[in-house]
Amino acid sequence: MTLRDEELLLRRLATEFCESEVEGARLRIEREGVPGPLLRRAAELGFLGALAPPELGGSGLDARSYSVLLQALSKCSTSLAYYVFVQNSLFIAPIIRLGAPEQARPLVEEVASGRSAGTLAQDLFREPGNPLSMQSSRLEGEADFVPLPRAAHHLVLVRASDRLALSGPGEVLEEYRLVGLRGVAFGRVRYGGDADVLPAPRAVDALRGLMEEASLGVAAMALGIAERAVEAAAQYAKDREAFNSKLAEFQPIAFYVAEAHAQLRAVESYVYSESPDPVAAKLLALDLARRASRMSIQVHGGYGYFEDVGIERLYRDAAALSSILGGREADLVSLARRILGDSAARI
Amino acid sequence: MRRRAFSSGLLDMSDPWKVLIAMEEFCRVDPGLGLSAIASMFGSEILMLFGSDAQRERYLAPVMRGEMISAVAVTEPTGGSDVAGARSTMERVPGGYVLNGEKMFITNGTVADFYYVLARTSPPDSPEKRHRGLSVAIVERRWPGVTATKLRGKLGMRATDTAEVRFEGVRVPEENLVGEEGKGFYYIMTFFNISRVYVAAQAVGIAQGLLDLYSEYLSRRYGSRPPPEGAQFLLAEGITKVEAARLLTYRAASLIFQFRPDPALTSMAKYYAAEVANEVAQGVIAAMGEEGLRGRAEKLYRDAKITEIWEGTSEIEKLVIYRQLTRRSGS
Repeated sequence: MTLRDEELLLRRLATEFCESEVEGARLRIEREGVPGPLLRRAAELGFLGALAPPELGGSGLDARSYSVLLQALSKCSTSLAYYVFVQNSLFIAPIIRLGAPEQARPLVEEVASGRSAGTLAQDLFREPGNPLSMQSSRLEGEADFVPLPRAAHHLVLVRASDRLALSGPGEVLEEYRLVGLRGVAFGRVRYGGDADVLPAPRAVDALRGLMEEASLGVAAMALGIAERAVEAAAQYAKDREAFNSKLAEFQPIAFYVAEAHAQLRAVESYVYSESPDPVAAKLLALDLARRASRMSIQVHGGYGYFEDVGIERLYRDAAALSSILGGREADLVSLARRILGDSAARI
Repeated sequence: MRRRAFSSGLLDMSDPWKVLIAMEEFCRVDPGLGLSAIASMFGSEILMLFGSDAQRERYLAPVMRGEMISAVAVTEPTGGSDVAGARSTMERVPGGYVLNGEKMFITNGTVADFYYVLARTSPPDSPEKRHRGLSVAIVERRWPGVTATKLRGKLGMRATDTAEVRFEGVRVPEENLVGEEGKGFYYIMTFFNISRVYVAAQAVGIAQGLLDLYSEYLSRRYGSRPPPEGAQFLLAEGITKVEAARLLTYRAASLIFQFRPDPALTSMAKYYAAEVANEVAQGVIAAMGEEGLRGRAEKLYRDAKITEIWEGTSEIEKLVIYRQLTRRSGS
């Protein structure tokens, strides 16, 4: 793949930030969440407002540059990349696209500057458990799997009225970490207060469309996981000795690395191609991330199993990313129906 | 819990089938906890096969009552699967040996009462004959010079204890040498050819546990109507592979338990069952959506990975299979 100059610059900026400020805090992020000072730096560098227009304090990145950013961050800390993704793809993009300008402007500025955080509560990819409702301007009900449940601003999908509501923080009933992305808390939230309604009608379809676009960002984060997995495996194979040889001298180990490298380059070319299908990109990149991270642990042997080496988290993060915004099945169904028509892949 | 597993008769080494099935069923539910109970007798086969009566009386009997915990200290920081590359040394002194060395990823390292330690008692004749000159000794954790440090932050199997163990000038009395000096590599390999079948059982249990969870998920999601064919296929393919892995495991075990082990078959069982466990884990976790990211499914997903690594990685198993095959066709 060939990156444009500004994309190369952005990648270098993100990589330098990761090497100098994130790498050392990696385990702390996993245990306690992304620390405040790191978020302020991410805001200064324009990452928290990556998709916001410059007039609202954002970087105004296009989809490709945004992918470059997410891949570079994810390579170092997928939790941090996901935090940036939540702010941009799950809050800024929907509120700009579906909100009234006067609703969006102040909040986008706040989130892009890192003064407060936004999040999205939606149940597009699962049976709605405790349905939300909107009566006059009162939002009632619960949402589960809300990322950053303590964020100041919540976009909430209300299926019953097919609208998106904008609410302050609800009551966090339960807070938990998933198998991966441990630096980002998820939670079950009860809403029961005043909320604004975004003017856009047919919010379910509109949000589905936005989530489909966001799939490219998920693919980029998955590529970051795969890239780290392959590079680390290659390095370890060159360094580690066993049976009087370097690991890399053994054909099977060398082939693992070579195959994963080839697959990585192919999927990467697709993600950064002229007009990739975001869902296809996500499917391919996540399958690769799960395979490559498993391979990398295998090459590292017992050491790969421990968190301080930084490989096992790739395996966990790949699993979390695979299911967090619609799993493999949902992606395959959507792709199949586009190719074969709406009656394809009945559920 | 450990003592109950023994007193209830589940863990009864006089009937190894019981132990194998307990391993599989424990891992189906909770690999970390299940293993913590069973691994308290880790390494016992070494004494059963090669120990003296006095050693069995002193060390094995309390382990079999659930009163003592044993550990196998073979892997080294620089060695991993390369067992013959061990750098720990046992130097002969009057009345016994002095042990120096470092062991890595030792299950039960900080909780064991004693370790079965592999160390070099004489230098190898040549790099190709590194497996000669190694010996096994029983070393108690409370002896001077032994330090065990717990390793934290594992991907899975978090309920088990894993440690780095250092031996610095540890006096090992003559009577704690297991079997003959210089035959340690053979003893340990014989042990691994037995213990690997238990790893295969772990993997079968984990894979079955994941399919159990996936079935439960499908019934919750679809109620009495059948799930889509994609889900049916995932389950059908998974259960087929689990059944194949289980049969291979039981066949290898039956030969071991009849005292005519087939190391190739044991390695096949371990390699294949571990691969099935990880394939099923990856398939199920990707198919369960958000529900799979919390609770028991994600735990089993994390626990599955180690079965491809410990007691010889899958790569080592394949080497063993090849060597056994060529040995057979050569004879």
